[in-house]
Amino acid sequence: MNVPLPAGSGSDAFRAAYSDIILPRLREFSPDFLIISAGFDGHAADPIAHMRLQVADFDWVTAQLAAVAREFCGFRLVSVLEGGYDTRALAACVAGHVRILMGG
Amino acid sequence: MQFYTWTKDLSVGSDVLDSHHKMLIDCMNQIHDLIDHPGWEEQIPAVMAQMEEFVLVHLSEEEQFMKKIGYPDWRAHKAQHDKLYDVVFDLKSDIQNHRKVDARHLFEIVYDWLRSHIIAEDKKYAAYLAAHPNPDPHPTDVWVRANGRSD
Repeated sequence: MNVPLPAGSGSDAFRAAYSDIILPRLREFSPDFLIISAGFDGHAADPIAHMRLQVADFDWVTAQLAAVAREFCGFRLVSVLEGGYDTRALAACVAGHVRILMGG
Repeated sequence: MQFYTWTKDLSVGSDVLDSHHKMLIDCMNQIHDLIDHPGWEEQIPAVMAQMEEFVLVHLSEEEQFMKKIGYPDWRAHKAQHDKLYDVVFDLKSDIQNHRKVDARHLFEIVYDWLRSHIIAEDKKYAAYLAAHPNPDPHPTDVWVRANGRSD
């Protein structure tokens, strides 16, 4: 499934898309493992994508996906780094992502 | 009473970047209010998270702005931004790792940035812009649109 968000979307739209659509469908699907294509170019500081997300949003979605992986597949989860073109925002988002996957 | 107030002499020639600097001063005033205030430890993580988001967006937009107006020293300016963000990143890590971050220390970092960077360094690109007018100098108003602040 694909859940496109309009340019300029921020925390509320992003979290609502996950809470209302993606996470319920993911739980319904009951995955054997998860692969995250971890792109962080949705951060508000990123010059390429036109989204308005914050580090806290990426932390939040990481925690949500980690919870699904623990619930359904013994935490079998692979995360692969994708986009992110503001190096400071990328560093902040990746640090939070890894910290949460490590249980922090 | 606020510790510090933005005044016109701090203007860098961009309404958007001026609004960012006002937000930084708001943030600094919030931190100042926390000094010696009971319960400040509980409020520091939220203030720090707000400051990190501000720093990430503002620095990115300011760098795009400097490039857009053709400011020749933008790389040196960006290097200062990188150092500043390193400080913010380390402070956030300290908080996440439950190491004590003193409100006064945080305030001094932001106040020093105001004095040494905004008042000194940012005024240099403002002077360049004044000497080399650009018909469309304004950067994308990401932070203001993302946070709903318009002043």
